[in-house]
Amino acid sequence: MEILNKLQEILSETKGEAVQLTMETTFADLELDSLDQVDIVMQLEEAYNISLGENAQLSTVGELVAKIEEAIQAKG
Amino acid sequence: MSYTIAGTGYALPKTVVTNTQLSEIVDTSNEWIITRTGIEERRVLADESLTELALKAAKNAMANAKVTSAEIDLIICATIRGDTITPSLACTIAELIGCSAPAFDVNAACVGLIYAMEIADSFMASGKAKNVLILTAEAMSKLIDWTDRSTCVLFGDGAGAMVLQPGKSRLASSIQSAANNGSILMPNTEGENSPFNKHKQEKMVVHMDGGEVYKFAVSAFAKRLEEVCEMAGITPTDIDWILPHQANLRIIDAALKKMGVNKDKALTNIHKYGNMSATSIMVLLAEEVEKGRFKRGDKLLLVSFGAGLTSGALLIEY
Repeated sequence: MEILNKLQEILSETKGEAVQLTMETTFADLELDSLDQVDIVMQLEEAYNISLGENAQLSTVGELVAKIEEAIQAKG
Repeated sequence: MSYTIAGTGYALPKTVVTNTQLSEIVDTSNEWIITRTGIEERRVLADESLTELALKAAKNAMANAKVTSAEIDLIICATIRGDTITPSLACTIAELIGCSAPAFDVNAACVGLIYAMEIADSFMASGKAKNVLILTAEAMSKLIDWTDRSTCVLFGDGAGAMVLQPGKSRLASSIQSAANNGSILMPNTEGENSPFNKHKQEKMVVHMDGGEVYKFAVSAFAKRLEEVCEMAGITPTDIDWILPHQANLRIIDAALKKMGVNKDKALTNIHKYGNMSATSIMVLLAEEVEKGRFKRGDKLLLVSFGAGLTSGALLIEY
Protein backbone atom coordinates (compact mmCIF):
# COMPACT_ATOMS: atom_id res chain seq x y z
CA MET A 1 0.00 0.00 0.00
CA GLU A 2 2.85 2.35 0.84
CA ILE A 3 4.30 1.97 -2.66
CA LEU A 4 0.90 2.62 -4.24
CA ASN A 5 0.55 5.80 -2.16
CA LYS A 6 4.02 6.96 -3.17
CA LEU A 7 3.23 6.29 -6.82
CA GLN A 8 -0.03 8.21 -6.44
CA GLU A 9 1.88 11.17 -4.97
CA ILE A 10 4.49 11.19 -7.77
CA LEU A 11 1.90 10.79 -10.52
CA SER A 12 -0.33 13.53 -9.12
CA GLU A 13 2.65 15.89 -9.17
CA THR A 14 3.64 14.90 -12.70
CA LYS A 15 0.08 15.31 -14.00
CA GLY A 16 -0.51 18.49 -12.01
CA GLU A 17 -3.83 17.11 -10.67
CA ALA A 18 -4.93 14.54 -8.08
CA VAL A 19 -4.74 11.06 -9.57
CA GLN A 20 -6.59 8.09 -8.05
CA LEU A 21 -4.80 4.81 -8.66
CA THR A 22 -5.74 1.18 -8.23
CA MET A 23 -3.58 -1.85 -8.99
CA GLU A 24 -5.57 -2.27 -12.20
CA THR A 25 -5.01 1.26 -13.55
CA THR A 26 -3.10 1.07 -16.83
CA PHE A 27 -0.38 3.47 -17.94
CA ALA A 28 -2.36 4.00 -21.13
CA ASP A 29 -5.29 5.30 -18.95
CA LEU A 30 -2.92 7.79 -17.35
CA GLU A 31 -1.90 9.24 -20.75
CA LEU A 32 1.78 9.57 -19.86
CA ASP A 33 4.32 10.22 -22.58
CA SER A 34 7.69 8.46 -22.71
CA LEU A 35 9.55 11.20 -20.82
CA ASP A 36 6.91 11.24 -18.05
CA GLN A 37 7.45 7.50 -17.65
CA VAL A 38 11.24 7.89 -17.43
CA ASP A 39 10.78 10.71 -14.94
CA ILE A 40 8.48 8.62 -12.73
CA VAL A 41 10.87 5.65 -12.83
CA MET A 42 13.75 7.97 -11.83
CA GLN A 43 11.80 9.37 -8.90
CA LEU A 44 10.87 5.86 -7.70
CA GLU A 45 14.47 4.67 -8.04
CA GLU A 46 15.62 7.59 -5.92
CA ALA A 47 12.85 7.22 -3.32
CA TYR A 48 13.57 3.51 -2.74
CA ASN A 49 17.28 3.51 -3.66
CA ILE A 50 16.72 0.77 -6.25
CA SER A 51 17.30 0.23 -9.95
CA LEU A 52 14.36 -0.74 -12.12
CA GLY A 53 16.50 -1.57 -15.15
CA GLU A 54 16.45 -0.09 -18.62
CA ASN A 55 13.20 1.06 -20.16
CA ALA A 56 10.93 -1.27 -18.21
CA GLN A 57 7.83 -1.91 -20.32
CA LEU A 58 4.87 -1.95 -17.95
CA SER A 59 1.18 -1.97 -18.62
CA THR A 60 -0.49 -1.68 -15.18
CA VAL A 61 0.21 0.03 -11.87
CA GLY A 62 0.09 -3.43 -10.21
CA GLU A 63 2.97 -4.63 -12.41
CA LEU A 64 5.07 -1.61 -11.52
CA VAL A 65 4.37 -2.02 -7.79
CA ALA A 66 5.38 -5.71 -8.05
CA LYS A 67 8.60 -4.73 -9.85
CA ILE A 68 9.43 -2.19 -7.13
CA GLU A 69 8.79 -4.77 -4.36
CA GLU A 70 11.03 -7.24 -6.18
CA ALA A 71 13.83 -4.65 -6.47
CA ILE A 72 13.51 -3.74 -2.77
CA GLN A 73 13.73 -7.41 -1.77
CA ALA A 74 16.71 -8.02 -4.06
CA LYS A 75 18.47 -5.16 -2.28
CA GLY A 76 17.99 -7.06 1.01
CA MET B 1 45.27 33.36 -12.52
CA SER B 2 42.32 32.36 -14.62
CA TYR B 3 40.38 34.30 -17.23
CA THR B 4 37.65 36.79 -17.84
CA ILE B 5 35.25 36.78 -20.80
CA ALA B 6 36.38 39.81 -22.80
CA GLY B 7 33.99 39.48 -25.73
CA THR B 8 31.34 37.20 -27.20
CA GLY B 9 29.73 36.72 -30.60
CA TYR B 10 27.43 34.39 -32.50
CA ALA B 11 26.07 33.68 -35.96
CA LEU B 12 23.09 31.63 -37.07
CA PRO B 13 21.91 30.34 -40.43
CA LYS B 14 19.24 32.51 -42.09
CA THR B 15 16.89 29.59 -42.78
CA VAL B 16 14.24 29.02 -40.10
CA VAL B 17 12.53 25.62 -40.05
CA THR B 18 9.30 25.46 -38.06
CA ASN B 19 7.72 22.40 -36.45
CA THR B 20 4.90 22.62 -38.99
CA GLN B 21 7.43 22.41 -41.83
CA LEU B 22 8.92 19.30 -40.20
CA SER B 23 5.46 17.74 -39.94
CA GLU B 24 5.42 17.79 -43.75
CA ILE B 25 8.64 15.70 -43.85
CA VAL B 26 8.08 13.23 -40.98
CA ASP B 27 5.06 12.01 -39.01
CA THR B 28 4.98 14.61 -36.20
CA SER B 29 3.11 17.75 -35.17
CA ASN B 30 3.82 21.20 -33.76
CA GLU B 31 2.03 20.31 -30.51
CA TRP B 32 3.89 16.99 -30.08
CA ILE B 33 7.30 18.67 -30.45
CA ILE B 34 6.49 21.64 -28.19
CA THR B 35 5.01 19.48 -25.41
CA ARG B 36 7.92 17.06 -25.33
CA THR B 37 10.85 19.41 -25.98
CA GLY B 38 9.90 23.08 -25.82
CA ILE B 39 11.23 23.60 -29.37
CA GLU B 40 9.20 25.79 -31.75
CA GLU B 41 11.71 26.28 -34.57
CA ARG B 42 15.38 25.84 -35.42
CA ARG B 43 17.96 27.31 -37.84
CA VAL B 44 19.34 25.09 -40.57
CA LEU B 45 22.28 25.65 -42.94
CA ALA B 46 21.05 26.14 -46.49
CA ASP B 47 23.32 28.27 -48.66
CA GLU B 48 25.88 29.19 -45.96
CA SER B 49 28.76 27.02 -44.74
CA LEU B 50 29.53 26.28 -41.10
CA THR B 51 32.93 27.93 -41.65
CA GLU B 52 31.20 31.19 -42.69
CA LEU B 53 29.13 31.17 -39.50
CA ALA B 54 32.15 30.42 -37.31
CA LEU B 55 34.15 33.21 -38.97
CA LYS B 56 31.35 35.72 -38.43
CA ALA B 57 31.03 34.71 -34.76
CA ALA B 58 34.82 34.93 -34.28
CA LYS B 59 35.02 38.42 -35.81
CA ASN B 60 32.13 39.53 -33.61
CA ALA B 61 33.75 38.27 -30.41
CA MET B 62 37.13 39.77 -31.34
CA ALA B 63 35.55 43.15 -32.11
CA ASN B 64 33.68 43.10 -28.78
CA ALA B 65 36.89 42.18 -26.95
CA LYS B 66 38.85 44.76 -28.97
CA VAL B 67 41.59 42.30 -29.89
CA THR B 68 43.27 41.83 -33.25
CA SER B 69 44.12 38.48 -34.82
CA ALA B 70 47.81 39.18 -34.15
CA GLU B 71 47.06 39.26 -30.42
CA ILE B 72 45.25 35.89 -30.36
CA ASP B 73 47.66 33.24 -29.13
CA LEU B 74 45.42 30.15 -29.01
CA ILE B 75 42.32 29.05 -30.94
CA ILE B 76 40.15 26.17 -29.71
CA CYS B 77 37.02 25.13 -31.57
CA ALA B 78 34.38 22.93 -29.94
CA THR B 79 32.65 20.97 -32.68
CA ILE B 80 31.59 17.44 -33.53
CA ARG B 81 32.59 18.04 -37.13
CA GLY B 82 33.55 21.05 -39.20
CA ASP B 83 33.19 21.41 -42.96
CA THR B 84 36.40 19.42 -43.44
CA ILE B 85 37.79 16.55 -41.36
CA THR B 86 41.17 18.15 -41.90
CA PRO B 87 42.08 20.97 -41.66
CA SER B 88 40.32 21.39 -38.34
CA LEU B 89 37.75 24.18 -38.20
CA ALA B 90 40.02 26.01 -35.72
CA CYS B 91 42.88 25.95 -38.29
CA THR B 92 40.53 27.10 -41.06
CA ILE B 93 39.42 30.08 -38.97
CA ALA B 94 43.03 30.85 -38.00
CA GLU B 95 43.88 31.04 -41.70
CA LEU B 96 40.84 33.21 -42.49
CA ILE B 97 41.58 35.74 -39.75
CA GLY B 98 45.30 35.70 -40.56
CA CYS B 99 46.52 34.22 -37.29
CA SER B 100 49.31 31.70 -36.77
CA ALA B 101 48.56 30.73 -33.17
CA PRO B 102 48.12 27.04 -32.31
CA ALA B 103 44.62 25.97 -33.34
CA PHE B 104 42.73 22.72 -32.83
CA ASP B 105 39.23 21.25 -32.49
CA VAL B 106 37.76 19.57 -29.42
CA ASN B 107 34.96 17.04 -29.72
CA ALA B 108 33.09 16.76 -26.45
CA ALA B 109 29.69 17.03 -28.18
CA CYS B 110 27.25 19.21 -26.22
CA VAL B 111 29.80 19.85 -23.45
CA GLY B 112 32.42 21.11 -25.93
CA LEU B 113 32.31 24.74 -24.79
CA ILE B 114 32.99 23.87 -21.14
CA TYR B 115 35.79 21.46 -22.12
CA ALA B 116 37.34 24.15 -24.38
CA MET B 117 37.17 26.75 -21.59
CA GLU B 118 38.88 24.33 -19.21
CA ILE B 119 41.67 23.68 -21.74
CA ALA B 120 42.05 27.45 -22.26
CA ASP B 121 42.31 27.91 -18.50
CA SER B 122 45.20 25.41 -18.37
CA PHE B 123 47.07 27.21 -21.17
CA MET B 124 46.50 30.55 -19.46
CA ALA B 125 47.43 29.29 -15.98
CA SER B 126 50.76 27.99 -17.31
CA GLY B 127 51.48 31.28 -19.08
CA LYS B 128 51.26 29.77 -22.57
CA ALA B 129 48.39 32.00 -23.74
CA LYS B 130 46.90 35.41 -22.92
CA ASN B 131 44.23 35.99 -25.56
CA VAL B 132 42.31 32.81 -26.32
CA LEU B 133 39.68 32.60 -29.04
CA ILE B 134 37.15 29.89 -28.32
CA LEU B 135 34.80 28.91 -31.11
CA THR B 136 31.75 26.66 -31.06
CA ALA B 137 30.22 25.52 -34.34
CA GLU B 138 27.81 22.73 -35.11
CA ALA B 139 26.11 21.64 -38.31
CA MET B 140 23.73 19.16 -36.71
CA SER B 141 21.60 19.15 -39.86
CA LYS B 142 24.45 17.25 -41.57
CA LEU B 143 24.64 14.61 -38.84
CA ILE B 144 21.03 13.67 -38.22
CA ASP B 145 18.69 11.23 -39.92
CA TRP B 146 15.98 13.36 -41.54
CA THR B 147 13.68 10.31 -41.75
CA ASP B 148 13.85 9.67 -37.97
CA ARG B 149 11.10 11.72 -36.33
CA SER B 150 12.46 11.03 -32.83
CA THR B 151 15.75 12.85 -33.51
CA CYS B 152 15.45 15.16 -36.52
CA VAL B 153 13.08 17.53 -34.70
CA LEU B 154 15.53 18.14 -31.85
CA PHE B 155 18.53 19.82 -33.44
CA GLY B 156 19.64 23.04 -35.08
CA ASP B 157 22.77 24.65 -36.54
CA GLY B 158 24.76 27.63 -35.30
CA ALA B 159 28.10 29.07 -34.24
CA GLY B 160 29.43 31.21 -31.41
CA ALA B 161 32.70 32.57 -30.09
CA MET B 162 34.32 34.16 -27.06
CA VAL B 163 37.65 35.78 -26.32
CA LEU B 164 39.19 34.98 -22.95
CA GLN B 165 41.79 37.21 -21.33
CA PRO B 166 43.59 36.91 -17.99
CA GLY B 167 41.24 37.61 -15.08
CA LYS B 168 39.56 36.07 -12.08
CA SER B 169 36.23 34.86 -13.45
CA ARG B 170 36.60 31.11 -13.11
CA LEU B 171 35.40 30.02 -9.67
CA ALA B 172 34.92 26.23 -9.95
CA SER B 173 34.40 23.52 -12.49
CA SER B 174 33.72 19.83 -12.89
CA ILE B 175 34.04 17.98 -16.19
CA GLN B 176 33.55 14.25 -16.60
CA SER B 177 32.90 11.36 -18.95
CA ALA B 178 30.66 8.34 -18.38
CA ALA B 179 29.97 5.03 -20.13
CA ASN B 180 27.99 5.56 -23.33
CA ASN B 181 26.13 2.22 -23.38
CA GLY B 182 24.88 3.02 -26.86
CA SER B 183 22.69 5.84 -25.65
CA ILE B 184 23.99 8.41 -28.19
CA LEU B 185 26.07 7.24 -31.09
CA MET B 186 27.06 8.31 -34.57
CA PRO B 187 29.18 5.71 -36.40
CA ASN B 188 31.93 6.90 -38.72
CA THR B 189 31.59 4.77 -41.83
CA GLU B 190 33.36 7.14 -44.18
CA GLY B 191 36.40 5.54 -45.78
CA GLU B 192 35.00 2.04 -45.39
CA ASN B 193 35.30 1.55 -49.12
CA SER B 194 38.70 -0.12 -48.68
CA PRO B 195 38.78 -3.55 -50.38
CA PHE B 196 40.03 -4.98 -47.06
CA ASN B 197 37.22 -3.56 -44.93
CA LYS B 198 35.04 -6.19 -43.27
CA HIS B 199 32.86 -3.85 -41.21
CA LYS B 200 29.15 -3.84 -41.75
CA GLN B 201 28.01 -0.57 -43.31
CA GLU B 202 25.90 1.36 -40.84
CA LYS B 203 23.99 4.54 -41.49
CA MET B 204 26.26 7.45 -40.58
CA VAL B 205 23.72 9.43 -38.56
CA VAL B 206 23.02 10.18 -34.90
CA HIS B 207 21.26 7.34 -33.06
CA MET B 208 19.77 8.14 -29.69
CA ASP B 209 17.96 6.29 -26.91
CA GLY B 210 15.81 9.16 -25.62
CA GLY B 211 14.87 7.59 -22.29
CA GLU B 212 18.45 6.72 -21.33
CA VAL B 213 19.73 10.13 -22.42
CA TYR B 214 17.02 11.84 -20.38
CA LYS B 215 17.97 9.88 -17.26
CA PHE B 216 21.68 10.63 -17.70
CA ALA B 217 21.04 14.29 -18.49
CA VAL B 218 18.88 15.00 -15.45
CA SER B 219 21.19 13.25 -13.00
CA ALA B 220 24.46 14.61 -14.52
CA PHE B 221 23.03 18.16 -14.60
CA ALA B 222 22.07 17.97 -10.92
CA LYS B 223 25.34 16.29 -9.83
CA ARG B 224 27.68 18.70 -11.66
CA LEU B 225 25.70 21.68 -10.35
CA GLU B 226 25.96 20.36 -6.80
CA GLU B 227 29.71 19.68 -7.16
CA VAL B 228 30.69 23.13 -8.39
CA CYS B 229 28.58 24.83 -5.73
CA GLU B 230 30.30 22.74 -3.08
CA MET B 231 33.76 23.55 -4.53
CA ALA B 232 32.98 27.27 -4.55
CA GLY B 233 31.42 27.13 -1.07
CA ILE B 234 28.06 28.46 -2.24
CA THR B 235 24.53 27.09 -2.47
CA PRO B 236 22.60 26.87 -5.76
CA THR B 237 20.49 29.82 -4.61
CA ASP B 238 23.60 32.04 -4.69
CA ILE B 239 23.87 31.57 -8.46
CA ASP B 240 22.48 34.56 -10.37
CA TRP B 241 21.93 32.87 -13.73
CA ILE B 242 22.05 29.29 -14.94
CA LEU B 243 22.91 28.72 -18.60
CA PRO B 244 21.99 25.09 -19.17
CA HIS B 245 22.58 23.08 -22.32
CA GLN B 246 19.51 23.52 -24.50
CA ALA B 247 18.61 19.89 -25.25
CA ASN B 248 15.10 19.73 -23.89
CA LEU B 249 13.12 22.08 -21.68
CA ARG B 250 11.87 19.14 -19.66
CA ILE B 251 15.42 18.07 -18.76
CA ILE B 252 16.12 21.59 -17.48
CA ASP B 253 12.86 21.70 -15.48
CA ALA B 254 13.37 18.20 -14.00
CA ALA B 255 17.00 18.87 -12.96
CA LEU B 256 16.21 22.23 -11.36
CA LYS B 257 13.24 20.74 -9.52
CA LYS B 258 15.51 17.96 -8.23
CA MET B 259 17.95 20.59 -6.94
CA GLY B 260 15.21 22.85 -5.55
CA VAL B 261 16.36 25.76 -7.75
CA ASN B 262 13.89 28.35 -9.02
CA LYS B 263 13.52 27.82 -12.75
CA ASP B 264 13.39 31.58 -13.39
CA LYS B 265 17.18 31.52 -12.94
CA ALA B 266 17.60 29.33 -15.99
CA LEU B 267 18.04 31.13 -19.30
CA THR B 268 16.76 29.42 -22.43
CA ASN B 269 16.63 29.90 -26.18
CA ILE B 270 15.71 26.33 -27.13
CA HIS B 271 12.31 27.45 -28.46
CA LYS B 272 14.07 29.39 -31.24
CA TYR B 273 17.07 27.19 -32.03
CA GLY B 274 16.60 23.61 -30.74
CA ASN B 275 19.67 21.72 -29.56
CA MET B 276 22.80 23.14 -31.23
CA SER B 277 25.18 20.81 -29.36
CA ALA B 278 28.43 22.56 -28.29
CA THR B 279 27.18 25.91 -29.52
CA SER B 280 23.91 26.06 -27.56
CA ILE B 281 25.31 27.61 -24.37
CA MET B 282 27.72 29.84 -26.34
CA VAL B 283 24.90 31.39 -28.41
CA LEU B 284 22.76 31.74 -25.28
CA LEU B 285 25.58 33.51 -23.43
CA ALA B 286 26.35 35.83 -26.36
CA GLU B 287 22.67 36.72 -26.83
CA GLU B 288 22.21 37.49 -23.15
CA VAL B 289 25.41 39.58 -23.06
CA GLU B 290 24.05 41.51 -26.05
CA LYS B 291 20.76 42.11 -24.18
CA GLY B 292 22.71 43.42 -21.19
CA ARG B 293 21.34 40.69 -18.92
CA PHE B 294 24.46 40.29 -16.78
CA LYS B 295 26.17 42.68 -14.41
CA ARG B 296 29.90 42.34 -13.78
CA GLY B 297 30.20 40.18 -10.67
CA ASP B 298 27.08 38.07 -11.41
CA LYS B 299 27.61 34.37 -10.76
CA LEU B 300 26.85 32.38 -13.90
CA LEU B 301 26.63 28.60 -14.02
CA LEU B 302 27.21 26.88 -17.35
CA VAL B 303 26.04 23.27 -17.19
CA SER B 304 25.91 20.68 -19.92
CA PHE B 305 25.59 16.98 -20.74
CA GLY B 306 25.80 15.11 -24.00
CA ALA B 307 27.24 12.45 -26.24
CA GLY B 308 30.34 10.67 -25.01
CA LEU B 309 28.78 10.59 -22.56
CA THR B 310 30.19 13.86 -21.34
CA SER B 311 29.02 16.28 -18.69
CA GLY B 312 30.33 19.42 -17.07
CA ALA B 313 29.56 22.51 -15.08
CA LEU B 314 31.51 25.72 -14.83
CA LEU B 315 30.86 28.48 -12.33
CA ILE B 316 32.11 31.90 -13.38
CA GLU B 317 31.87 35.42 -12.10
CA TYR B 318 30.96 37.55 -15.06
